[in-house]
Amino acid sequence: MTQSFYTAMTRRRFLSTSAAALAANAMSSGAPAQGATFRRWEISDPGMPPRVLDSYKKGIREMLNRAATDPRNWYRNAFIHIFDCPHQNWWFLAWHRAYIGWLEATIREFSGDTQFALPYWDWTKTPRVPAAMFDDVLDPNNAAFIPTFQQFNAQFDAPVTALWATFSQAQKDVLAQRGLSSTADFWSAVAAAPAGMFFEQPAARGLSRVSPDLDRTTQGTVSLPIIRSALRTANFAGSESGTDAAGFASAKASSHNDQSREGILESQPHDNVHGAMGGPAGNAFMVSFLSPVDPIFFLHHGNLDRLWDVWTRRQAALGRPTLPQGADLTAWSSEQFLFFSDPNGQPVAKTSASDYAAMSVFDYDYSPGSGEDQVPAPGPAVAALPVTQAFSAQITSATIGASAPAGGVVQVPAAALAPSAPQAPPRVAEVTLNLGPTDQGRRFRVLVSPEGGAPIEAGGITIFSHHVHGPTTFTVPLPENLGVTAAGPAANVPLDIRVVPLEQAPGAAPSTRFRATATSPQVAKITVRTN
Amino acid sequence: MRQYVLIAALVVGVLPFWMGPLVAADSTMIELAAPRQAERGDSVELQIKTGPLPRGARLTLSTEDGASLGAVTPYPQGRQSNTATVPVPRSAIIDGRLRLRLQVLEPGAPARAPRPSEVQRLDLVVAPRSE
Repeated sequence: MTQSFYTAMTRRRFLSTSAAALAANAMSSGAPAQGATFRRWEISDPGMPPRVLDSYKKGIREMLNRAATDPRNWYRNAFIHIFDCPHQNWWFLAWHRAYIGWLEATIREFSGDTQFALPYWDWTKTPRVPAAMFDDVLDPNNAAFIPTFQQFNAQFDAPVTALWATFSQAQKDVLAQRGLSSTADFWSAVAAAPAGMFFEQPAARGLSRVSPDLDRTTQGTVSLPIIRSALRTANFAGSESGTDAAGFASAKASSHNDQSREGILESQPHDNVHGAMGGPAGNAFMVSFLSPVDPIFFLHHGNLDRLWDVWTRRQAALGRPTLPQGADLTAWSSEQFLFFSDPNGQPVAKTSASDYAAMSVFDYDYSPGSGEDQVPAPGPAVAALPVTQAFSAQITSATIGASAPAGGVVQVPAAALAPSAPQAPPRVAEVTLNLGPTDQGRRFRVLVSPEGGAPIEAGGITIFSHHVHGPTTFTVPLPENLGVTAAGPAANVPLDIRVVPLEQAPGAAPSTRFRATATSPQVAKITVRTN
Repeated sequence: MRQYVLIAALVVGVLPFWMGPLVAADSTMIELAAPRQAERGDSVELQIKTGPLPRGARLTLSTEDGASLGAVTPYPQGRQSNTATVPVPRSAIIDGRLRLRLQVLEPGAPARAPRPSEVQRLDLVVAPRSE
């Protein structure tokens, strides 16, 4: 038994499900976590203790080795997602907080690491599968996982029949709502792909160690501007009818088995990262409701849970509601989640959505990640945002890879480059390239030289769509501190922005695509957007 | 209490109506009219209701000049209907109109314009943002 987990739990006074208490609890969680017992680290953060991934592997291996009759078996845990996961409604975040929290507790137990907390994957910072997630049992193509549907069915047929016999009427009602009234329905859904959800090795994950990048479209959906747009959503959940914003947590629905509308967070980073894990062929557990078979599922949802925390703290700092209000809060709070198990394999006592409104339920916090700048510092009321301004560059050299670096110069008032408030829109350079089909896979650097000074790297551009042609605009954030020394705020600062090809990665096969040719892409337009 | 304002709601299953002169072989351009300009403190969102998409397919949305706005990748794959939200920069609305390029990308097939059954409804929504 993981003593530290239960010690931490008993230290805390879990609140009742009353609306007022719930709201108070959520607001208190809005403050930076003080003294949380467990920290969830971003997987590429140098500060993450090496034991985290070792413990995760050890726990996964133990769960894979559990009997198929044990609720703590790795695949049995994934079944919970099929049985009960809410999507396209306002319980999306709370249910997944519970799901990863209970898995984390079980891994802590099985690994023997009393300090274990799941890592998370900040795909905005690192838009590719972290290299560590191809090691050992962190990759579902590893031999410790069941390789074929036939073997899977042979192991789980009888245990699933036995499991079905244990379901309460309330659980059966949930399953019926989801089209899973019988074990026959279950096996129809969990058939071998493409008809069903089971992706046989080596298609258990579509992205690979040699091709780990999220595709270009998905990179856009996890980009900082999209994440900031999601975090600036003012409401927790929109109406079911659909004439307002869907809300940060997605829109209201009458039960967590119903579909309503997805907000930006669910429809952009969440859905697209799931889809991108299928790679070019679209094959992976992650594209299906059996997605928790892939250990990266819990890192993906960890980041979404972190962003919920960022949004909650932002809302609290701005004096805005962090949860539904009034009767909506009562309806949201009382929704029942009936399929979770604790590290002992027993049904959990906390079955209400309200139990998972705050991170204190599992006593963790997150190392800082993308979007954190959207939380205003404590202080007086935030001033209204200035209007966004756009400035176009004069393109002086269009062909990338030619002797003169491609790009141009844009004149920007010094005032527009001054340090900005955390809630202000980011300053960006929008670079439009005319691309051809042979540009797929190419990478470029975007360099900015303020006032004729040394170039500063602003970001990279990767051409990853499998359909590439015509003008395509890439948004690159401008560095916060450009070192501008203009005479006054009204003076114009020349920003020289250049797009240069990246050399091939070491060890990559030679390719003429990386040389300047007559078909090299053209820089069509550069716009600097400031506030 | 602030009111949410629905700027424009378009189209239930009438995608061919949009086509005509705006059709390209591999994408569809549509134009949504905004009855008023989004004010400071407003955010603009595009809500897209999709019908069934082929397995592994996604619907991409971009502005006329190719700036990506977002994508709809139904999760789980094969979902029959999905209503997604994509943020729209105010700068993308020019002269009160959003010109939107829609394209379906699916594994092993050329990019193409969406079929009428695949895009069932588009709503441009203006809502106050948190700031």
